[in-house]
Amino acid sequence: MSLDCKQVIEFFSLHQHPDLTNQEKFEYRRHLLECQVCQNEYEEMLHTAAVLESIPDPVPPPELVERIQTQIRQTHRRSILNFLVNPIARILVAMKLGPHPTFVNYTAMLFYLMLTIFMVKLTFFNSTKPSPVELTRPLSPEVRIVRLGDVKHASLKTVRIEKEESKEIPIESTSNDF
Amino acid sequence: MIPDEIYVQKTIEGNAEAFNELVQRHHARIYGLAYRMLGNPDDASDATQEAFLEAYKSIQSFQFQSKFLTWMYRVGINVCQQYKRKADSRERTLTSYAQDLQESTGRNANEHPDRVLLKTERDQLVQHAINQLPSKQRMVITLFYMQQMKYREIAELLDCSEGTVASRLNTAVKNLKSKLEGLSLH
Repeated sequence: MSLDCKQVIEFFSLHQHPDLTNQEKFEYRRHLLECQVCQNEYEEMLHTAAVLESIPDPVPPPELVERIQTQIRQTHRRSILNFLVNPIARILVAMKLGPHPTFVNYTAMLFYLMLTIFMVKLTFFNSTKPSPVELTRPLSPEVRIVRLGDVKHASLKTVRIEKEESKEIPIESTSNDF
Repeated sequence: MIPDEIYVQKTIEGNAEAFNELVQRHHARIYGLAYRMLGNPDDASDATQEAFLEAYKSIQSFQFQSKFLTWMYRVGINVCQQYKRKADSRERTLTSYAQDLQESTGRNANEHPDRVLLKTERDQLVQHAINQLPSKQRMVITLFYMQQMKYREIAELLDCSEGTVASRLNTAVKNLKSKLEGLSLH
């Protein structure tokens, strides 16, 4: 197998191409040693690579590290706050599910929404109507002992109610045949 | 030296200062990557900051199967790609070109002014040529030559085979060579 210039340039590898077989590598090197055109091309590419390698690394601005570190600290504090205000997130962390801060925020919103709905319902929609059971309960008697007067056919003029303290309650009654 | 993975574990356990140690260690490399991919220092700084913040938020997804730096590079590349889509790069690159030239001239005060100017100009022209490459080629060039990563690491990072990395690298160098010839730098 022999390679022509086009193939060599196609497979031109300044670096060891991992997919080439040993035979191909051998042919490639042999062609490179023999062909002046490919040698020139190869040298130019080597020069390009050297130029690339000679470019100095860009120097980051000195305040960049501090800026990043400050932002990391702020994010950490914010995540702690989320963690404290949201009991659901605390449970998830305890279960080692490691919730994402966004998820924590959404669950916190959901939690407080549900809490608000519950409080509103409790405050404004609490029914005070007595239950039917209370209506059927017998009323306690207010008059326990009624003592009539000494007169045999007396007409009922007064009724004395004996409770903790006796009271004279006038009763307007017209009934005479008691 | 304490391995990165120890700090990652501490971060997962809720220690933000452990992550800040990782920021201290690797910010220059991520900044370098961002600078090569985005082509200007302002975007590179913002992208570096965003990449570390993104990494901190999603540190739970680190599986300890690769190096932290490789994982961090992946986060950085994703952020840079988002930036690249958003940014009106052409205008900003041209503006920053002039700024960088001025800044670098001021920094290297010990060298002869003419040499500094020539070197800086050359670096800027090379960066300008890199910026004109397609995204994938720019990425492999940056990772291989500027970040000194190996084929295997790049392949893992970009989720492709080592052969693909080598092919892209060759194509990228060829394209860059022709662009640099156009800028009469060769």
